[in-house]
This record gives sequence, C-alpha cells and structure tokens, in this order.
Amino acid sequence: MKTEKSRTLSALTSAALAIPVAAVSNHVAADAPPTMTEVGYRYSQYQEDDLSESDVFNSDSGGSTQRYDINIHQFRVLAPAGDNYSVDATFDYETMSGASPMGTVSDGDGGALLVMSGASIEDTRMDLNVKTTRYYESGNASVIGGYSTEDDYEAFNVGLEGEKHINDKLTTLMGGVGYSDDTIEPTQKLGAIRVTEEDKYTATIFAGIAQVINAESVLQTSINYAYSDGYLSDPYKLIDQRPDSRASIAWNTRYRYYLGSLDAAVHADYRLYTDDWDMVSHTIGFEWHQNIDPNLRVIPSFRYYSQSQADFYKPSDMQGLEGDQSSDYRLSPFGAVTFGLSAVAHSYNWKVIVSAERYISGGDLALGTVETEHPGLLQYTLLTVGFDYSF
Amino acid sequence: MKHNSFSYKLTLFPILLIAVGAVGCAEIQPWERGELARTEMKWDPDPMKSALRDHIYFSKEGSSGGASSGGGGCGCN
Amino acid sequence: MGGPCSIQLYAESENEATYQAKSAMDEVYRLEAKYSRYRDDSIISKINQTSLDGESLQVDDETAGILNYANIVWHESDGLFDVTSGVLRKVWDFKSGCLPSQTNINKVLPLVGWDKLNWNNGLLAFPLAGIELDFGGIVKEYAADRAVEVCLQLGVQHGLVELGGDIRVIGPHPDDTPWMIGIRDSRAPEKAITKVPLMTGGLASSGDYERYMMVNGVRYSHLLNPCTGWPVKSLASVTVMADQCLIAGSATTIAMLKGDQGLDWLESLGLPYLAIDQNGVQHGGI
Repeated sequence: MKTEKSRTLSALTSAALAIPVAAVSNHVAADAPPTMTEVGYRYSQYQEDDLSESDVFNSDSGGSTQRYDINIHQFRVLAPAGDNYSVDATFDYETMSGASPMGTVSDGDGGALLVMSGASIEDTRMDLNVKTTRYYESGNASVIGGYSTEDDYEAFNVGLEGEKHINDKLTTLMGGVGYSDDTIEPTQKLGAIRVTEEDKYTATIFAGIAQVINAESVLQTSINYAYSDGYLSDPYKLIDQRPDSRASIAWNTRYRYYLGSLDAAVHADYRLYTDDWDMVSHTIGFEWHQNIDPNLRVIPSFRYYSQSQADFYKPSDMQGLEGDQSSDYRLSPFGAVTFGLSAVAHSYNWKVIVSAERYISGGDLALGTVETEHPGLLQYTLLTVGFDYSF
Repeated sequence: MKHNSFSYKLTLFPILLIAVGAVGCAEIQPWERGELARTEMKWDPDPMKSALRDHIYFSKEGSSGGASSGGGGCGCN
Repeated sequence: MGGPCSIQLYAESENEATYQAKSAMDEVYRLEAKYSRYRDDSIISKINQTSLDGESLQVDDETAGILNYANIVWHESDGLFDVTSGVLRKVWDFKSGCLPSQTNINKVLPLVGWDKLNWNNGLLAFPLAGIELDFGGIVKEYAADRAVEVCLQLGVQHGLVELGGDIRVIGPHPDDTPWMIGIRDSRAPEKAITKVPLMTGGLASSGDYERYMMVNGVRYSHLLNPCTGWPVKSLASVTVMADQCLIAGSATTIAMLKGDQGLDWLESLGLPYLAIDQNGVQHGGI
C-alpha cells in the first residue's frame, strides 16, 4: 500500500471536499416550508333553530321566528414559495339570510320576550386572508393581512406572528401582535334611527409557550390580550349602548396526547376569559381523533362553554335609562354545549372531510345560576363537507 | 369598576410558570418524537374547520381570543 | 439510485436506528431527486433543457461543486471520464446485442466533450445545443458519502452505507473489527473472489460484467471512450479504497477507461486497489 499521495489524488480529493453541502441538518429540527402545494375547499351549512312563537313579542305583527341560515364556501391554498417561504391564503364566501333580535321586552312575569326584525335580512360576506411565513433554522415568522366585506361592514386586519424553538426543539416560544380596523355602515330603514358610519379598532398581543412533555404528549399555554376602541354597540338594536372600549385577557391551554395502544389522539383545550365588561367565561374542548384504519379517521368532539353577563347587560330593554345597557343575548349569562362528529378519509395526497356539529345553549347550562334566561339563546346545526388535495 | 378584571393577570402568571416548570425537564430524543409528528397530534389538524368554528363562536358568544394575532371583526349578528 | 441500497448501523434501540437510517435515506432521496435524469423536475433535466435551447444557466452551489469535480476528473483522466459522454448510450444498446453503425456513432460524437461547454463560476453555458450532462459515476458515490455524513451528525459511530455496490463505512463494528466486503469475481459476479476488510472510508468497484454484450466472441463493455465512441479494452474489474466513496468511485472508473494503462495509472494514484485483468490475474495490494 502506498502512502505517498499522488498529485491526481490530491486534485480529486480537494475537489471532492470542496463540494458545498446544501444545508442538511437534523431533519426533525429544521423548520421548513411545506414540500407540496395544498388546496382545500369546504362547504358548510349553518342553520339556527327557529324561535318558538311564545318567545317572540311581535310574532303576530311581522316579527320573524326564523333566524339565520348561512351557506359558507371556504377556499384555501397553502404553497411553498422559494426555499424558505410559504404562502397560506384563505378565501371565505358566505351568504346569509334570516332575521335577528332587535331587542327584548319584559313579559311582566320576570322573564323577557324578543322583539324580532321582520322581513328576511340578506347579506353576503367575503373574507380574504393571506399569511406569508418565513422559515428559519429554528423558528418561523409570519406576516398576516386580511380584508373582509359585507353589505354593511368592512374590516382590515394585519398581524405579525413568530415561533422560536429552543431546548433542542422540546420547547417552542410563540408570540404575535395584530391590529384590526373595522367600519360599520348600517343599512338604513325608514322609521329607525341608526348611526350612519362608525369605526372600531382592535389591537391584540399574545405570547405563549409549547412544551414536549414526553414521547406522547405536548402542552401549550398562551396569554392573549385584546383592546378594542370605538363603536362597540349594535346599531340594529332598538336600544343598545355599550362602553366605547373593551379590554380582555384570554388564557388558553392546549394539550395533545397520543394513545399508542388505541391509535388515537386526545385533544383537550381550556380557555379562561375575562374582560373589563365584567364578563368571565370558561371554555373546555375535547376531541378524540381515532384512526380506524390507515385511511380513515373518526373524530367525535365535545365543547362546553359558560359565560357570566356583562355588567351593563339588561334582560329587557329599559327606555329612558341613563348610561350603558344592552339586551344582546351574547352579553347575557348562559352556558352552551357542542357535540360534533367528523370523519376524514385520506390517502397520501387526498383528504375528504365530512362533519356535523350541534350547538345548544341555555341559562341552565351556565356554571352559575341564571335568574332570567335570555329568550334569544341559540341552537344551531353545522354541516360541513370538503376536501384537501396536495400536489 | 371597569378594570377590576386585571386582578386576573396577577393570578394567571404563577400558574403558567408552575405548569411549564413541571414539564421543562423532559428529555426526548429526536427519534422518539415520531408520534408527536402525527397529523392528528397537531395543534390544528384542520385549520379551515377551526377557522370556521372560531368565527362562529366569535360572533355568537361574548368572548374570544386564542393563540393568534386574531382577524377582523364582522357584522354578523 | 439503481442496484441494491442498504444502511446497516448499530444503535441503542430500533426506533433510534430507524430514525437515523431514515434521515440518511432522506439525504439519498434528496440527491436522487435533484440529479436524476429520469425526473423532469431535476436539475439535470433543467440543465439539459437549457442545453437544447443553447442557453446558459446559473446553478446552485452544490451543483457547482459537483461540476467543478467533474471538471477535475475530466482533466485528471485526460478526457476519459467525461460527464457529457452519456449521449453515446443513445447509439449503444447493450440489450440489443447489435453493434451500432459507425455512421450513428459519428452523429452523436460531436455532442461529446466537456471542453465543448463553458463552465465558469457557477455559470454553465452551451455554445453547442444538445450536449447532455449525466452525473452517473459521481452522484451515487457522493450520495453514499453524504448519507454517512448525516449518520455521523446524528451520532452514529458504527455502520455502513451501500448504494448499488458503492460502499462507505460510518465506522467499524462496535468491537473495533472491520467490515468484511466481498469483491465480485468478474467472470462469476454472483460469487465473491475475495473479501477485504474495511475499517473506515469508502470502497467502490467497477467491472466489465456490469453491462456488456458479446458480438462474434468479442466483449463490448459499457465503458465507452468519449473520443472514439467505442468501448475500451479494459481490466475485467477494479476495486479501490479511499477516504471518500466519491474518490474511490472515480478512481475505478478512470482505471477501467484507461484500458491497458489502467494498472499503471492505479499504481501511480497511490490508493489501495485490487484489479483483475482479462486473464483473471489479480493485481494490487488491498
């Protein structure tokens, strides 16, 4: 065996060693854009149950007992762009029809009756959102821009979000800021006194941390602070005057656990919300992602929600009262449950989704005791079909 | 009265730190993280579905807010 | 990548081994996808399309490194190892058992020649449309080296990567014994003529048995001289050991293309080798 290296060998060796290695690091570690383009579509029917005539004050004078039906088309494209970027664009097209509560009156017996709008309201909503993400060795950063428009409403929003992996990728820090500028121009109606154009601004900031706990589970917790300023009332209500600002904090905790023996993943989420309108709410969500075979997954889900009332909430509208008041059911004390069932059939580049959800809300579902249940609390059914395709 | 809710801020953070401190010492090798990479283990396995859900809850309930910078509002009543 | 590919490695658990092997295979697949001439989206297809259009192309750093290497190999082999010689396959169909006509060889020969294209600082220009590049003989060996690098990065200390007969050792067995590599008998390729120990580095083999045809009792191998367009009368097989699989692979190819000067060339190169001539005589001191 010769030990003296020839000139040829030196030339070959130095040329071989000079081949620069394309950044190939730890494959789990590097944050990378998706390798394929994914397109998705969902069609959903959202249908609120009709009100009972006995809950509607003006049911025999034109007040509708029918509430909203909404058809929603969602489109999405998620595409890699260059070596380090991805673009995630969603477009929603919604058509809604139905009637909504304009106010409440006392039924003289401690309860309240709804005053409903008459003729069916028709509206179309379009919402475009684009999120561009830059991927780094151990994290990513996104810029978000969105625009939505309705007959009487327009909203622009922008956001910045980022994630940073630390601790050998076992821990992820995340955070972001957002800003939204909304304008409402209510449709005018003869005889009704409504504002012509009002604005509101919302600023959001959040920070969170996700931690790999063991080979089967991960936990994420985050704090979200939002501040809205401007016109926060509902112009279509007979009487509705809310404070001109709202500050809220939401604490979200999410947990994912993989059960190897059952080939299923459990999702458990909890949110505690509180704001300076004196509202506190608790949201608990469970999902069970059960793999039936390599190409089929079934996902039953359950959600529980309970909120306390806003401090200026009034069960029935009070004429001539000074200061803030609202009889909006969304500011009333109530609880709600959602039962859902989804099925996802998938192959390596196809996914077909069918899902159904049923939402029931009521005063008796709230954590505390509700003296006067709002007659306008919702029940709805949401049906979705859709697909994702990657190429 | 308006800002009494900020007392929550003080109680929230200790809980947050305890939760993280308790799990911060885990050591899981990269090859042991296969189950965590499963699609059903994502925070959001179906972003379009959760976006629609969030939108409905946002417009039909009194509270909102998650681990995101949020979006625009809507006139949906 | 063609031929059997395997990764053997020692790990503390099957999960760990699977993860490490998969990471290494991902690197091989990455290079396969990037440089395969059978894939429309590969850089090779893009280069060859640029050539058809008679245009020029700025290539990425890794591709530039490989082209620089191809340039050195071409020079060091006196023009025998030529990444443009792949077009000769269009006239040499070894499955047919028929020799191509000299007229057909003459038609493609003008498109062969590394010196007919311009390669400068990452810019590849084709003054002559239709020259095709083929990184066969480079990328498979480079991929074996890269797969080993990935394993080393992931902490593998003992293992071996084989891509279609080209081998690179990650490290010896845990008890410090070498891997024993069988060398094919060039006239009975399913049998091992000898076994050689390999502690570290790479080992590559080339033989006239890999693809050839017999016409009127004469053996015509796949090793084509880019100047004449005809197969060379080469050694029967050559095996070379080097730190890198890429160097070992290039050395075997050049030694085969050198024909009757192959042995001298191997001797002057200074790497351990084992050559078998057409009479079945073994040379070299592996």
